[in-house]
Amino acid sequence: MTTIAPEKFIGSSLRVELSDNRVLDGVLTVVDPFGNLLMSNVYETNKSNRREVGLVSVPRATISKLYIDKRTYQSLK
Amino acid sequence: MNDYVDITEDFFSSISQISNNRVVKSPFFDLLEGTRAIEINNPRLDTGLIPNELSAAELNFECSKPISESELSGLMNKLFKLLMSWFSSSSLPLTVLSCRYVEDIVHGYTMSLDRGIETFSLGDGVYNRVLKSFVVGLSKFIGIMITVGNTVLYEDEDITTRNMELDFLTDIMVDDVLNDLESAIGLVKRSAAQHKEHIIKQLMLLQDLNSLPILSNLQINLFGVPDLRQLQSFQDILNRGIECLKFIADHKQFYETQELPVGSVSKWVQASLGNRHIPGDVYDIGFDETFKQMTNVFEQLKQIFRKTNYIKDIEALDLFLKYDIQHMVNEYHVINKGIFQLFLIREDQSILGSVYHLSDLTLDLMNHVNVFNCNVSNPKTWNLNNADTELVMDALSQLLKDLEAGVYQNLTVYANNRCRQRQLINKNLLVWDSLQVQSENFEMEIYNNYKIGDKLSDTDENALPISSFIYSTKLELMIEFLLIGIELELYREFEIYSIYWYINYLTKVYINHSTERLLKFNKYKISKIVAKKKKSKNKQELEQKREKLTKINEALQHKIDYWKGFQRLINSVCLLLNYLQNQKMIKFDDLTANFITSFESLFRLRFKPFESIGVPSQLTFAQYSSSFASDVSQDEVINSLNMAKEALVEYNKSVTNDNEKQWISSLVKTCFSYILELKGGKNVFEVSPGYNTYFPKFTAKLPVIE
Repeated sequence: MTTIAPEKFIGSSLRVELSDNRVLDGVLTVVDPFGNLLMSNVYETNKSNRREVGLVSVPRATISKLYIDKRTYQSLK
Repeated sequence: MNDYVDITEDFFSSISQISNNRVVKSPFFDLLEGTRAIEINNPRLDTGLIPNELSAAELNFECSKPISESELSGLMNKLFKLLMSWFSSSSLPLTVLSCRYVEDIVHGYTMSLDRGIETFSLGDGVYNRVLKSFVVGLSKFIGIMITVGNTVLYEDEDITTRNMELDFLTDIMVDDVLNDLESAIGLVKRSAAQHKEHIIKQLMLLQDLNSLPILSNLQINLFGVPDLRQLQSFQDILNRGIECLKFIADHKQFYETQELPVGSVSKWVQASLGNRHIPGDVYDIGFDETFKQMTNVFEQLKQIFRKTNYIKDIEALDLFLKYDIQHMVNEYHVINKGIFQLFLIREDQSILGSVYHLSDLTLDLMNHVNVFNCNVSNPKTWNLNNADTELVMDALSQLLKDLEAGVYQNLTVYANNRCRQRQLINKNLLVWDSLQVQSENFEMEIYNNYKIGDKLSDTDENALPISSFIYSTKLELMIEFLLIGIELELYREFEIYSIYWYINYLTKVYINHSTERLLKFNKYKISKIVAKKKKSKNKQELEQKREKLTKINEALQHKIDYWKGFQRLINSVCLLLNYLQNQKMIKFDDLTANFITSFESLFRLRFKPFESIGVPSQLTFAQYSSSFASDVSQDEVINSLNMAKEALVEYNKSVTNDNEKQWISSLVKTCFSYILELKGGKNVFEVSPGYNTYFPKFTAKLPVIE
């Protein structure tokens, strides 16, 4: 497996699944060496409720899964 | 999810490449902005956690489910409490928006393109329909207050207007809301409800609340005969509101024991709408406080409206604004502060909606000090050719226009909270100082170039009437600025003497200016008229002018009498503090040892707002340091306080405005309390609230004099 440089993920739209089952969709803006994220233009989906939450800091410990859309993923590789 | 790829592993293995503990970030992102981010799973920031603490009933609440009579009444009671809690330094999401019905109506309205009042629905049951009218009425009132808040109040200090980007029925007309509430009252009357009167009183009260902002559109016949029909009709609204409030307060037991639909009030809105708010519990100030505050709103507006209808002249307007509004502002509910500011000065610059405009007020203010019957303000008396007349007229018009702006700035001060009043006065000081420079230049120039101007007396000294008026206004602002600082407890104990000492200086300058320029000039004008009258054919016109000037001087003298009494009290406080220092109770001089910086720097910082002001000249630290007398006796302080007291008691005999009377009485009480304190107190120097906000109580036990 080829490792993608972390810089390449910056500016990509990510989907983050949180440990409490919430889902965040937003743009990755900052990542630190511990895996904590800062995402902008974030929308939160909690069961059926979806809302805009703006700039969000996501601690590594709360992240259950990270997704990226297929097309973006291809371009990053 | 088919379009997504799981990159959890890829991503976290990728970040292991980050070296030296650096962060990888977008080049367009400033890390400082990151401090604004909402941290996921932090209970103090993340409203997304709220659903975890909500019950199933709260999560799955249905607004259209039929409600009972008891639930209707209970909900309306709860909503009144939430409404008044919003005005008590809380926010909409923690108060009214925590009610699912309000959220449903307002959110639905915000999202909908069809925005008529008939489109709202909270279910088909009779009580649901009544509740719908109530929620619409309440939301409309909130919308109006948000607009008032954004226009004339201060965010977070007076009101929090952040509304989760919801539109509180902006395009719905108040009349439609009132009619809808009337229909709801009809619905209740025709229903099988057991406590119809209880429900109807709640609906009527909401109608009356929605009618309050009408005040800002009413037109007062200022200085004229009151429009009794209008007065009565608005008083009727207020009286009906007060009656409803009394009924509700008297039936507390009933209202407080009504049910609420399970799950109808919760923290849901904080999780369902925007996440820009700090999570918090639903805030409710309780039944008693709610209806006490609401009664205050109606009672205060009743008083204010009545008083404005009976303002008979410019002096009364000045007293009304000073004593009934400015000094009382802390007691006014925020609803009234906002509505009053809009009521006082309208968009068309009319005062209280009358035919009397800002320009009239500006001229009247000047005329009622010293500008009446002056050469400078009366182009008919200029002996100039047309071109020169036009030139001077243009310059005078410009000056008057700028003066209007200054008067407008002063009018915006009155209904603000006291901190903002001080801040605005500070700003206005610069405006009035520039006006004085501009006016002096203008008056000197037209005197030198065109011989337009007035003599102060039989000497050749130029009276500079417009500049003198401006200077007088500026001095009042300077004094007020320092006094409000005392009220707001901005000064430390060791600074308090310097503040009174400075006020003492300013009041002396003010009294001297009023006596030696304003009064003297008016007297001179009277003497000229009397002399002219003997030879003139137009005796009646001259007599009218003489009478008007005499009245102006009487009013001026009355004002000077107040300031003389006030200055004596200020002087007494200086003596008292000087005496306490001599008795080693407190130190106001030689404080170098206690500070990182010198006391002189602190002194200069304290009076910095006056630094750019040319006249009166700023007092120096050297003058301050040499202001202390080493031989002030207790008797001297007591005599001085007694003299101040007598002057104020005497002045109070001629006062007619109730609130001014009360104000002067509080100054008199201050004199008494200082005398008593001098005769015994605690063994430490203490400053605590006194009888008058400008004069705290100074407590200090003095050594027994053998």
